Amino acid sequence: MSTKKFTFAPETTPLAGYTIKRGIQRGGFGEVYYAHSDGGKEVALKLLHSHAEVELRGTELCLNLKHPNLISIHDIKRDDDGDVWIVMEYVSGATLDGVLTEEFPDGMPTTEVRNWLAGLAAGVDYLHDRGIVHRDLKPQNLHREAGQVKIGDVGLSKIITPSQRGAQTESIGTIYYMAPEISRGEYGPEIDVYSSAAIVYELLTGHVPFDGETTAEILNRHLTDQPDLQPLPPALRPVLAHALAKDPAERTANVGTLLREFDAALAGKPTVAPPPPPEVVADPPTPDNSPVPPAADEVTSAGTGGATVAVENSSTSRTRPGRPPQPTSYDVNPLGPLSPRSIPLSRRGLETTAAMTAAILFSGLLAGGGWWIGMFDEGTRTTPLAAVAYGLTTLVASWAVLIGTKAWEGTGTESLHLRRLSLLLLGGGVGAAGWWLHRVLLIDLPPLTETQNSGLVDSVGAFELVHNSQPTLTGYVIFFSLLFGTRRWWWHTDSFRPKRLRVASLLLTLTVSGLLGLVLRFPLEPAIAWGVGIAVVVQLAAPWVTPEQRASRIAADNPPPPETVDAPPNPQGATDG
Amino acid sequence: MPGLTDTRPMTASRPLPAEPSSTSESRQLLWIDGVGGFLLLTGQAVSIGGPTSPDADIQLLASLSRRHATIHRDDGGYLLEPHGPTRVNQRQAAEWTELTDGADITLGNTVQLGFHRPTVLSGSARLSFQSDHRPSHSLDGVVLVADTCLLGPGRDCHIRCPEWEDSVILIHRDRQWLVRSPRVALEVNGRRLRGESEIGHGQVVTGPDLRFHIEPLKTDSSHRGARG
Repeated sequence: MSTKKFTFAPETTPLAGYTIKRGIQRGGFGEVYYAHSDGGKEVALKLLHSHAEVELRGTELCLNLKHPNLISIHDIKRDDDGDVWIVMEYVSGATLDGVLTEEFPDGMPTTEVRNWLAGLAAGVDYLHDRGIVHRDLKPQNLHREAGQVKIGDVGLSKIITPSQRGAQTESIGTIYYMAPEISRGEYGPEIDVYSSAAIVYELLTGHVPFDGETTAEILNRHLTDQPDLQPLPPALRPVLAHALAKDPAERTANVGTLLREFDAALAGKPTVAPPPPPEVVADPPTPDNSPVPPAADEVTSAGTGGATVAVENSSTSRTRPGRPPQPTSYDVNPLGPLSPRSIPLSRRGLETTAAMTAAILFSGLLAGGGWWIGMFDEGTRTTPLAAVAYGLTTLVASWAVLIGTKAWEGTGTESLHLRRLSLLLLGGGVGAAGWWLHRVLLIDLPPLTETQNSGLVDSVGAFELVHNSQPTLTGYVIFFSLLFGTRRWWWHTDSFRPKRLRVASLLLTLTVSGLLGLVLRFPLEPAIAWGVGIAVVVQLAAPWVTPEQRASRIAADNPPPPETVDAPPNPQGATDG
Repeated sequence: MPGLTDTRPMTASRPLPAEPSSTSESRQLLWIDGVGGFLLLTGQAVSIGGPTSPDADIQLLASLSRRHATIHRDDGGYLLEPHGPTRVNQRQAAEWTELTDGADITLGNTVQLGFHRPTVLSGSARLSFQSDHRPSHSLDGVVLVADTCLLGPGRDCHIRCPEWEDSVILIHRDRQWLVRSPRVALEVNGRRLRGESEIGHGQVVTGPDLRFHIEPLKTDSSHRGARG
């Protein structure tokens, strides 16, 4: 247990002329002290550890910048041990980080956000006008004293950045606001616009636009994910989409422009209506238009060492370290079937087995119910065997769906076409099994109705679909293949599906199976009975987690990574950029 | 508990408690790593004045009269005695006014102070600077110490230290400052603390995740920044 966090004790003078009063903060770059000069001037002293390859040129360039929104650097000094001290203006106000945590954990009113943005814009645009990129804008670096926003660490990013790669806590603070092109070693003024926009996003919502368990994951999301604009006031969505654009060339030109667009949007006259990227359009999350993120190799080339993203709570509003838990009031994009997550093999196996067992019960009930209401009566002849054949076929189909879809659960959106293809093949197998069952049990399906005397498709190549008014093996196989291949069955069985049993989904399945029956000349009644039956059975049998419990389920299934989260990202050019 | 309403005017004929005391141990600066600097005042009466009032206990860089207001501690409660234009909770305070937890004090036109009694277990109170008016150095608050000053992570502490694991108690007794903590293993100048220990200028209190020290407030400005 370390008893002394700061190197130098209070009331000492490691740097001649300054008496240390207290430590302010410690980080990967060094330590910051509050000190009084011999003349009584209060200053912040930043001690840079000498072991770091200190590049002071950037700091020296900023030494004589004067702007009310920048924390000024008074001097750079070396002590007797050769350590470098940066003597800075002391700002007494809270940091934006502290204000957010203490006062506005769920986001600030827009007027308050505007105050911070105005000061940020003035300071950053002044820097850019002088050819300097701040490179490390974050709430921890923004202060407000007497109503004046003050930007800290001006000219220090080159010093801070290299040592921050060492999995220090500070790197987390930085990485939340890091523009995607930094991964390519590009450090243009656009990165400050991106950081400012990420800060504004956080001020409005109380959480950063891109969060994750590991630095690699957050970097990945900066590179590939579109920000979730749902929690933002609608008028501001295009403004922040513009400023958070992945391509620096498409991004808002500077922070001053961001401020003007912000103001115009709130005044109800958006001067800038940038065509938002298609994915950004704020649609409610419908199953099929979920954006498919670019392949992971893009991330690899960006220098994150190809770290695979193990956990990704895609749309949750996970809180920042140290931030109190936030209510999920803007959780308008809740965890759904396509939310990637890792599910332990044991749980996957257990859930699938349990669902398959439950499917036996539900298939039996369905067949029994059908027999009870006389669904399998044929003229005067009641055929319990027909009910058995129907129930068994439904059970086999439900098992096929459950086994297939449960295996994919949580793997995200990458393999949807593969899923359809696999379901198509599974359906073929189920069709064959159904045909065989009906042959063995000598059960005929009800005869085709008058309207079905001609279908769109009568045969596939040389294979007839219908023979003697009964579907052939080919007929069964093709009907079940298409039934399996056209519906999104993984949406039916996922633990995170919107509702346990969705009636809308049943109606759609009813329509699809009816249409398939008409087109393929498959007897309509059994076609619909199977389509709806399978949909009912798999939905009732598959486990379901209520939306409130989903986040905790993910947390339970994904224990936090060990202390050293991952290999520190080392974007090219970060050290000498 | 005295008083039921926040701003009930008290009778002006109330006997005046002791005059503000200015002995060195009654005015201490408390410097806490990672938290801030605080002024600890132990007098029964604490006077607030502008920059031209060297004998005020709280001397603010603000357009105030030499002795603008005095805060008296009385029977475990606090009373504000206005000498210049003063409002409490937006109401003109022409006479002695009781201060309760959460009260806003406005001195003159611009100076705003917050009054806090975070716990009923201690007679101490805290003043926070809500406008940007401070003493000549940036302090983060003033604690009016009756008996104890509680430092720690909880909201019931006089000085909130969010990162600390547990509370530390500063005790003012018989013109001495003592430190004690039920659960934090403390050291004073590197020596393990058992029970409670007196602390004075030049002694640094450290714990697993904390460090602080006190220093008498010098009224003579020429001695600011004295070396340790």
